[in-house]
Amino acid sequence: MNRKSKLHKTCLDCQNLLEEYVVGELDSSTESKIVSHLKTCDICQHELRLAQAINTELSDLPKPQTPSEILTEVTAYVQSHPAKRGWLHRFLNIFTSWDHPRTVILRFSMLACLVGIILFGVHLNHQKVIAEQAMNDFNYAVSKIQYAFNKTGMGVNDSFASLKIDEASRRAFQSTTMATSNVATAIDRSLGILDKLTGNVSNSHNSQNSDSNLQPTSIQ
Amino acid sequence: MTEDEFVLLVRKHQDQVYWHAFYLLKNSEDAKDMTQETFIKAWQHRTKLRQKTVRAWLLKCVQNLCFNLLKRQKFQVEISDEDDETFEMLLHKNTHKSIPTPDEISIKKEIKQLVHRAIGELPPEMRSIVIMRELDEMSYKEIAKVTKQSVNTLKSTIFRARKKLREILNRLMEETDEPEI
Repeated sequence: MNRKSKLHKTCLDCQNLLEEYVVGELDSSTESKIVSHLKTCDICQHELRLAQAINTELSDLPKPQTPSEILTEVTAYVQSHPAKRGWLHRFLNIFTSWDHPRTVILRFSMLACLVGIILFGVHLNHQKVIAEQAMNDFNYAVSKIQYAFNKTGMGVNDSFASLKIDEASRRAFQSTTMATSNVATAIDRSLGILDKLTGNVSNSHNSQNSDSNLQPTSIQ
Repeated sequence: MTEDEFVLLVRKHQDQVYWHAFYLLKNSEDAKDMTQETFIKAWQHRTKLRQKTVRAWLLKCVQNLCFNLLKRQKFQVEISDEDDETFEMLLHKNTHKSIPTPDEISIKKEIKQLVHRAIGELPPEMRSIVIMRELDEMSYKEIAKVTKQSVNTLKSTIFRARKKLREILNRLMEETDEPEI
């Protein structure tokens, strides 16, 4: 402290930078100022020698011999507290433990599989939605046709008795009715297939099917 | 991490951890205990360890354990003569190994011992950083990870530590009337 209080400001500045000077971390202009001051100042030269001695000693610090008991005792502890071997633990270890290259590859593979499964699920769901939409449109169209047929059958049936139609016309009408019945059966069958495809057998469809007996029963 | 992998890790890092503890505590027995405790903690927290940061983790752990021990010791007795002897023995052994000419032995040996005494008198936080930089030859970036400081702050701490060493060395030389270097 006494030594410092007697120092000139240039000496203080120089001594503050001696450590940086010793390890060569000063810019060239500051370094040249330090060098020129050191040439003329004995006190700073002494401090420089101390800084150099410290630098030498620090770069050559003795390395004590590590006791062999450390490894022995740590190994004994590890063996008496072994890692858990459960499948769940091993599975979780893939995500949480050591960065072994194998584990990293496994992690990436699992991540890729997971992403693949999610994308495939999204794709399937999208397909299902489209199929359901098509099914609903189809059901709507069928119900419309059914309604039209029923309406026509009822109209004909009502006015049939009063009409005087010859035998040929009656047969023609009956064959048209048969054809209609065949179309209705075909539509039912295709609806069944569609249901199987989408895996979504809608109750409404079934109820519609049960009502969709397109055969104009009232026609004799 | 399996047991075998962990034992390999202990083999790889035990020297550095032990040296760190030894220079902080200046006592081989305590340093051994702290090193063992560090590795036991590492085994208990093995799922958190990462290969890239394991050295920083171990050094931070041993540093904390040693600081805690030093704090406890502060409230107990001063460091015993026996402790200093162990530390001095190491320095003495090293002095004979590195100095060749008999004329230089007395001066250099004393300077060396004074420098090492000065290192021992550094505050533990500074000493720890100096050890990591000089003994473990760690980069500023690596030490910054352990001490959770910026690289610039760390550099300034290292230079402050060296200045502090010079101050301590000056004081010790005045006390012992050492010859000029």
